[in-house]
Amino acid sequence: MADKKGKGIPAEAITSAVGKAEKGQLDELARLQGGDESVAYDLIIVAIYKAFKRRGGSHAQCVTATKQVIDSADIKVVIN
Amino acid sequence: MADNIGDLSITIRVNKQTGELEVLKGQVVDTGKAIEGLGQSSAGSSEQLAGLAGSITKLASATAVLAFLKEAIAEAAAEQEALRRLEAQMNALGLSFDLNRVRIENWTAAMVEAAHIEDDVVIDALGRTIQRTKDLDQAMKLVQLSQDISIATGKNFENTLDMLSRAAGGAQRGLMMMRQEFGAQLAGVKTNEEAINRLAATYGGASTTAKSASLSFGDMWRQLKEAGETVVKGVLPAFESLVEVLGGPVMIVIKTVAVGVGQILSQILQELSSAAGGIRRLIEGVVEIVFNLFTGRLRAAKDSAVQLGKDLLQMLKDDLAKQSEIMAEGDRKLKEIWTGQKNAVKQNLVEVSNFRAVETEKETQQVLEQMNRRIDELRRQEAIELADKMLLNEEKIAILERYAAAEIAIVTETKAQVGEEELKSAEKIAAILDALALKKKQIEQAGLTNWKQGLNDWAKYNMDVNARVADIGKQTFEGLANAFGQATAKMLTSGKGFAQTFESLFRNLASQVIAQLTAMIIKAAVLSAITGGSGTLLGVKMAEGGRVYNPTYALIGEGGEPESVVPDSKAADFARGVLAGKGTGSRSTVAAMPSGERQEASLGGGVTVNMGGVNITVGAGVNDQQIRQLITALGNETAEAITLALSMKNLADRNEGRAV
Repeated sequence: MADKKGKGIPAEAITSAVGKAEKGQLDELARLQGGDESVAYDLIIVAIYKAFKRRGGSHAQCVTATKQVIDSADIKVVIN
Repeated sequence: MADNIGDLSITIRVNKQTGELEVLKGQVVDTGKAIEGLGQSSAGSSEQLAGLAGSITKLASATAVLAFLKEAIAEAAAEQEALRRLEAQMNALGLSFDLNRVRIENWTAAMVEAAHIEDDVVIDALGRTIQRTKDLDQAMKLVQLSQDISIATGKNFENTLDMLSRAAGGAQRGLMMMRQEFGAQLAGVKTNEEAINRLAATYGGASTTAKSASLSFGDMWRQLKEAGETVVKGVLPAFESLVEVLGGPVMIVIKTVAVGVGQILSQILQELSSAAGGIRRLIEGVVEIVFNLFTGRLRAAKDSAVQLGKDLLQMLKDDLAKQSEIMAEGDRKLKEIWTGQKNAVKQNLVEVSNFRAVETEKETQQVLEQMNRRIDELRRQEAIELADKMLLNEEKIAILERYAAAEIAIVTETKAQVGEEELKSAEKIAAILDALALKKKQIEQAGLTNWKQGLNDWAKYNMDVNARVADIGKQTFEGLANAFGQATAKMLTSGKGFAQTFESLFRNLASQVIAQLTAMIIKAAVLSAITGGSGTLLGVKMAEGGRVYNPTYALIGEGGEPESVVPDSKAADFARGVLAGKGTGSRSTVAAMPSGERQEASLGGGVTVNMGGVNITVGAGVNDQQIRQLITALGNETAEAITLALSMKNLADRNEGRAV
């Protein structure tokens, strides 16, 4: 189990994950299968960002909201 | 972690093979302890109960964020699953999913953003359409067009897409179905393709228009909320402005509907459980109405307005029905508790009354039977004497007079005996009844009053739970807004599952708090009833002296002065010691410890028995038999009180933890 990453996540990490998803670079299952935790975190970041997007937020609002929610929660990630 | 929300933790599993996300565990830290703490901090008064809503705002904010996170992960999982299904469908048709994946995802995102529908719904619709068209681009266009038609006309999205995809697949029935559905708009068209193009020319782009209308109405909505709590004040001027701009008799109809909608909305806003759904439906409905008005579809606008009114009314009805159920359940429980309580008290009174009647009748009957036996014996003797035929009349009269006098003496003596017995009995029973009455009064005052007050508080709180849930909801939103800002707070609370999650969560929280407080109130009442308000279960109090005959728990020394406990066998020596000035205080309490003996001789100085704080004094000359009866009677009464208390405790135990 990986430790939480949520505390004080930089906004750049969110825009980077979202950008990769939009460009189709997130489908890196090989890296995930190789134990690269950053891919798992990016998947979670994008899931939260898209949830805000579905609720009508602009890109800037969704990036801010994603950061706030991740920072407010103790998020643990299990990869298996 | 934001200061204004409570602690929450969530564990998310990422499937290494598929990238799928799943929430393994999510919790607001120590919810149970938080609720328990809230319960313990309240003694059950109405004011303190009212303060609870404010105290759990932090907890509620954290729970709201957790609900959002769970929903976000569930939505992502649903999207992944839908994409996998689409991949299988495309691969089976020989279409490359991998090459088109990014394009499909971006197209899906645009559809979702424009129409506010779920990703998996859009992706599944695309998959079904591809099965018929065998062409990704055409399938995308048809899904898009179906969505536009649905938004513009209010027709069902799934049915419209089914019809268009059949037509695009070349089905002959497709054209016929489209003509039936769109009538004159398809006049003159001869092929399926022509019909689809005609519809695209008419309705294409409606989603984009609706989206911009939605955004502008979103702004209007925010302004209305800021303007004040009463939505009618904001909604009506907005609609009136619309009427002024557009004019015409149709707008009078729309205005009438709008007035109704505004009134319904103002009521819905008072109930959180409906507010989220109601607001969403209102915005959707208003967008639909205005879009139809701007595009000249007056009939559709009217239909949309009527449907909107019906939907909102139904939401309100549903919510009111839920409230009624909760209130009815509260009433039923209240009646159940009160009925049980009244029956227990009534049974107690009946048994006391029976005891009194039996004792009085038994003693009087014994004396009267003895009198009758003596009189019978006298009359038998009299008859024997009068049977002597040699008696002179004077002698007979003398005999008759003598026996009459004797009979009168017996009756007089019996009357005295009966009177005396009755007097003794009356004194004894009066003492018992006075004690019972006093004890009962104490139980009623200390117990029933507390019960009544406690249950009334509980009922009042229960009936008011909806308002409190709404308060919690408002405070939670404010807490989220303070922590994250208005924009994020709005998005956090706008998910489709949020309203249900929120309502369920807070009803549950409120129920737990109510159940806990109810149990506390009932326990306090039981304790008070058992102890007569003394707040102790230690037993009889001996501050005024006392005498016991059986192993008994007693409270001594509570009078603030020295007391003595002396067995009967040592009482004489002790009394001599006191008279000789060896006592240590101005008052000595003689409390006989169980010796297993019973003295039948009269006690010279009378006895004071203290039961549960009630002093019962039997005067000089009373014998041990009478004291035993007194103790028995009081024992019965105490047993009744304990039975009553136990039934109350059982009731409390049954109610503890029960959700309302």
